[in-house]
Amino acid sequence: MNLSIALAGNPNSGKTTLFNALTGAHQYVGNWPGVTVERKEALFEIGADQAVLTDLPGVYSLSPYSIEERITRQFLECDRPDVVLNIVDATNLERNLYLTMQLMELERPLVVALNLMDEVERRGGHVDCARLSALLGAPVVPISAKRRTGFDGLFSALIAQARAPKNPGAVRRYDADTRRAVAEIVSALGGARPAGRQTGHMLQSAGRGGGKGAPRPTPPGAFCALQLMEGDETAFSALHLSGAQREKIDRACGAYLRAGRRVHPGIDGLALVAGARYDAISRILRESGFTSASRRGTDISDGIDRVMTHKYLALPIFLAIMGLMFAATFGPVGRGLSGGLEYLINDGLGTLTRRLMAALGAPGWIESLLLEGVIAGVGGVVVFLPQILMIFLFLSVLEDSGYMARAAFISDRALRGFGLSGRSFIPMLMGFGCTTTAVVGARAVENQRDRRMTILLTPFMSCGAKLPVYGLFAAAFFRRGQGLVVLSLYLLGMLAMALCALILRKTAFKQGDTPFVMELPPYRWPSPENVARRLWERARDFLTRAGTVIFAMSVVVWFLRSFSPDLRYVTDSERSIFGALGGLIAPALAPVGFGDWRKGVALLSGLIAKEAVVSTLQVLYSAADAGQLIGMLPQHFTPLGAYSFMVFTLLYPPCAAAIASMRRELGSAAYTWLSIGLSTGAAYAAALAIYQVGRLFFA
Amino acid sequence: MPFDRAEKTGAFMNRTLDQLKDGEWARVEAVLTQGRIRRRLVEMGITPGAGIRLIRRAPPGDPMEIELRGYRLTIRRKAARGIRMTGGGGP
Repeated sequence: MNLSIALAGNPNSGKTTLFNALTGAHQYVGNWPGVTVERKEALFEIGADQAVLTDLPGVYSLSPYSIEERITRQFLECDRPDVVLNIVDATNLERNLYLTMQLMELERPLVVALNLMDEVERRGGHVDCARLSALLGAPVVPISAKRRTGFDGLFSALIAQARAPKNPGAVRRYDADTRRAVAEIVSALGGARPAGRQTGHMLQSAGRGGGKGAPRPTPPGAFCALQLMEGDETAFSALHLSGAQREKIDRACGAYLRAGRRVHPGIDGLALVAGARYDAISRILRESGFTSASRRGTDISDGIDRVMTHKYLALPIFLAIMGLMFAATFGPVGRGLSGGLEYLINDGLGTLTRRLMAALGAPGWIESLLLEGVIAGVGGVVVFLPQILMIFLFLSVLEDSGYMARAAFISDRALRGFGLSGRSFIPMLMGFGCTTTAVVGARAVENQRDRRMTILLTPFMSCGAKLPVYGLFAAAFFRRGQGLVVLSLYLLGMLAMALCALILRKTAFKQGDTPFVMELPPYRWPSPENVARRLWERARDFLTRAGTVIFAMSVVVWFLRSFSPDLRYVTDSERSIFGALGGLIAPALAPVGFGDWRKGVALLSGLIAKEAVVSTLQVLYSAADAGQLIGMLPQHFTPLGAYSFMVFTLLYPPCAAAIASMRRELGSAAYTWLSIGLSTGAAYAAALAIYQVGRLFFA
Repeated sequence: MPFDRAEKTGAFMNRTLDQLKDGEWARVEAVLTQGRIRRRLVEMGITPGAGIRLIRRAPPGDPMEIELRGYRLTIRRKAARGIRMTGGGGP
């Protein structure tokens, strides 16, 4: 038998850990059609059978208001997996069971995996799983996703549900008023069910079973009834009710509201139905002998938080953590690792290639392509792998431990002024490391509007690859105040970000204050396995990109630098296509102080990788090494021009890898172009202002 | 007792969530917060009758951390202002 199983659960419930534990390394990672939400699928052995496990987005409820909720609901309704595996965090049972209740309402075969039950029991908590299963109407299996225990029981429950599906619904557990209203509405509805695919009109059906135009399976009547009782207008209009039906339903809803208002004056349908679900959960938990864990764990977590979110200590602690992260990444450790890799590539691989070419007697252009194109280009990017992994190591640990949520908590107020929430804080900080990874990190931002705005702003946080450029110019022109000059650039980047945020807020991102309602999970020890897996995924991703996009770009740049417009191989780059191109853009860059074609070309090659600005200048000015280049630069730049050049480098569009990653995460070409336009405009305007105003003083 | 003093001393039974003291429990009476956030608040368990404890406020005084239904949540003061509380309450 080939089973299809959907994995559903709250964020932070251990869903990803369980998915990885069940499926191992054989995962297919993609996106849900039409949106940028990650979709993971994998095959795994379940007893003698094979199963396809689909990881649904982490959601708190099934109401169709966020993309993630819509995806989850549409997948369950249209693709009709054989079994829904609902992972539930036993340390946060009451809130987690809210989603379980809604999944029960959908009447699809359900298995509840009670994660972290071992932790609850260690801390003196208890729940009778057999009793809970009976009360809920779905098998409840205690597991530990982290320790991989309880999987045998989980498998037999899944197989049993698949062979003999059983879901008595959730409504039977709700209070008498709710049950009565549901029954009346179900009878009024008769066969009426939502037509078409109203929950996912913006999505195409994902995967098997529901091609475009396939008839939508009808959701259970009780599920529709509860939506109507919540007062969901979109649910009303999707049903195409007759006048008589509408009248009956309105009467039932009215009676339900009146009954509810006798207890809670002024309450509405939404709060009444949610209250009915939570009341049912409380009753079920009480009857199944649930005793929560002792407060010890919470108390430790609370103690940590008293320091971490302390009125005066919070900011210094945060800065210290960030300082440690950057010191490790860009300090001796990270630089040493990168340097080692660089040595291996340049002196190892490079020398080997040179000898091989000499032995084979290959023509000069092939040697040039391999050495100056591929090895310099791809190698120049690959050397950043250790530093990127270092940043990710820190960020993974911070995330798994629960500190990220605290950073969002303490920074929310400051970010609100820019129309963002605390959730955007971490991806932005990651931008100081690498824009490409920061943009991927923006996935943690729940809401699409905020996520897009965060991605658009991240490039203004000066990334690590720009440091070599600053270092070069600061050493050549501002020997006495090097640190200050570099610091001023970082601050200028943040200022530009703030300005752009305000502009975006007034233009492209006008609508809506984003709701900021965020869970603060207790602090936990990060799982080394999870961290290692994430690092490996990053490394694989990065190397794949280096082998494809960067490889292709490097060859193109080499070609432009080595061939003349009439396609002859040239060694003097001034006569190359690049030289001609540089001559064309030089007049445009003259007002900002870069009339020299070589400066324009250096900036152009920086679009492949920011470090390439330095290496290109080195080649074009024919300097043997960095030291010689530092000595030569004052002949070509004034100090003012040098500063303007650094500002331009700081603000202009990020490297190709970052742009590709932005395109993927934004899910929109238009927004990607908006970002490129924004950076180009900001860079030109700032460099122009600095150069022209500066000339008045330093002429 | 003058109105503003009564409010300051908490003599009025009805306060909103943002007016709780650090560590204080109270019971939700009504969720009057409007807009898209309302559904999220209710679904996260802020329903009439639920007990909520204010744990702490972030360093700038906003947002705030609350405990309800055995877990911790952070919401902004603006949203908390629309949640009417009544005295008493516990976990």
